[in-house]
Amino acid sequence: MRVTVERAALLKALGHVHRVVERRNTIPILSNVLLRADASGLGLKATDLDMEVTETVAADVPQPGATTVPAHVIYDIVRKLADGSQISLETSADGAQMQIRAGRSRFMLQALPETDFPDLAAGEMPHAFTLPAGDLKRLIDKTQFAISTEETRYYLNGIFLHAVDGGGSGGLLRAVATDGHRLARVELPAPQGALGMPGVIVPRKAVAEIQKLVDDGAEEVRVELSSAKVRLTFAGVVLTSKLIDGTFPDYQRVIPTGNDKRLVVDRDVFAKAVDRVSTISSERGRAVKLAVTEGRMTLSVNNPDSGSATEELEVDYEASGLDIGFNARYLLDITNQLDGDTATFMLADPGSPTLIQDREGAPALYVLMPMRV
Amino acid sequence: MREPSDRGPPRRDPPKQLAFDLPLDPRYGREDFLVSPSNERAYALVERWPDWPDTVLRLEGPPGSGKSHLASIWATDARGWTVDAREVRGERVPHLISAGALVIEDADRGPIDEAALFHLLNLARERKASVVVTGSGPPDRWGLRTPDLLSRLRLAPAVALDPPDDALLKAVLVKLFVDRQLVVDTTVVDTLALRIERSLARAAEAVAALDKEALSRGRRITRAMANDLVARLSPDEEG
Repeated sequence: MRVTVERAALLKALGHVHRVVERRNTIPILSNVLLRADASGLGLKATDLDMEVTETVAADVPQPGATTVPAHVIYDIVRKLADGSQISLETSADGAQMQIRAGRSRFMLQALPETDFPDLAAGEMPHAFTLPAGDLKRLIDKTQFAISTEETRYYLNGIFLHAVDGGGSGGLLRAVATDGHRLARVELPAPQGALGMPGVIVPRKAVAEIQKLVDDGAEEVRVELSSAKVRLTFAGVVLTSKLIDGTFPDYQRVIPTGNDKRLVVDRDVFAKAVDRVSTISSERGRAVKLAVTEGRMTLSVNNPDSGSATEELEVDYEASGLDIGFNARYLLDITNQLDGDTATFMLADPGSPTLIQDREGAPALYVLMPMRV
Repeated sequence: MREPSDRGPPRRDPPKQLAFDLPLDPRYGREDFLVSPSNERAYALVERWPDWPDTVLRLEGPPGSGKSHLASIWATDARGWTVDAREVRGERVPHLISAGALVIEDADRGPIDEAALFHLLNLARERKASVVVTGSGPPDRWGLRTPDLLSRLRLAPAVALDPPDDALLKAVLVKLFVDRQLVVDTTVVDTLALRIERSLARAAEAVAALDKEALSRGRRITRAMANDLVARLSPDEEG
């Protein structure tokens, strides 16, 4: 294989694919990126066996061929080469090494044969739709924080993506994540082709990669699905991931519909007050108590080891008084996701789920379980 | 409000994060019934339906031995109804029997309309309807006052489910965790099997409580958590 490629193009593509590669691997080939040069240019592919990312960059290919080299190493090399340089990649006659040349720099990397490189075998993807990159970004950005990080609860380790009826004639595409303490649900009008898709759980690592790729300037994203895998195509970059093999719980059952104590706060003022009083809370507890009465809220934190803090806010509230505790970090996570100037809480009692939205009926909805304080 | 005190604030429980109730419905299907030496005779007899020695069959066994599960498998097969023994009342008898198959649950728990039950059993024989009656022991211990009913029930063939044996209890615990999509170490199953009451109902309660506790703590289920739970469920056993 002999190929010449522009540094900027190679760096960008390596930047996309190398992140998939785990830093530690017991199987050596999984540390490598597959490089394949042919008439269409230089193709790159990296995998961790659960997910793979491929990208093709324009290149001058005097001699087609393929090899694999350590992904993080080649990324670091290309990153440090001079901007604007032309990089030449050439495998040795026995295929055991690959030379990288640019300007006066020369590197030899140990290579492993292409034939050993695993393929995720995407199989048939019977469901497909296209949506604006901004929409996908919104679905992910607003729900990602609620994904469970507790690994034995694998069925909550991702974003549940599914289509439902409603929202006019075309149905809705919904993203839902929960860790058992809070839940985020965002919906938008379903793109054509999304209705009828199976409900799928996209794993956390794939979510993080999608989030980075979607930030990288693609206008549209093609989503293809089977019941076991998902493939997303961003301009030139293709990410294929296994889905979580589990059943997402019937989350609708925890979204309260009868909460009638309506509390409206200035989002920014509220978040800053929560942040201030929680300064003295313990790392583990993080509980802040909201005492709400007509037109007024008192936030308080009581930490037996360090002291206490209170702050009063004017709020829009007319129902009977209520004391309720929440994890301060969860409150801040949710208020960070809200877009409006205000936050609307629908409360029931100190032991039941609370609904939080920009306003009633907003497309993003958050449910938070209280803390017993 | 706290009384001012020079001994410092009273000890309180630390704040506890509550968790969503994200339950998975328990599964009472045929494939979910685990057969073991403690229940295989009962299972075999239920499987033989309608080839039964009598129209009435009694299922005997302590709470949580799997009577209701087995009865519900049969009710599904036979397209019958399931009622609590206290719902068997005079005017409802012909209706209850009309499906041709009926499960009467917990006939040993508290007062029942004995005349209605007697009438029902006779009507079932007359109309060749099958009836399964569940109870924890033989009818002599149900406190019945109608001799005819007692002798009718005594004559009905009975099959006993024993408390789950060790292997069954462990298998059921594993299945309960799997049903809830929970990954646990075998030591958790061993701990529960060793320390909880030998009952399938207790096993289900323990697994549900552990699921909830782990979700609330945001942690995996460990043997220590299982030990805590068992101690909490039966505090008098400790010490």
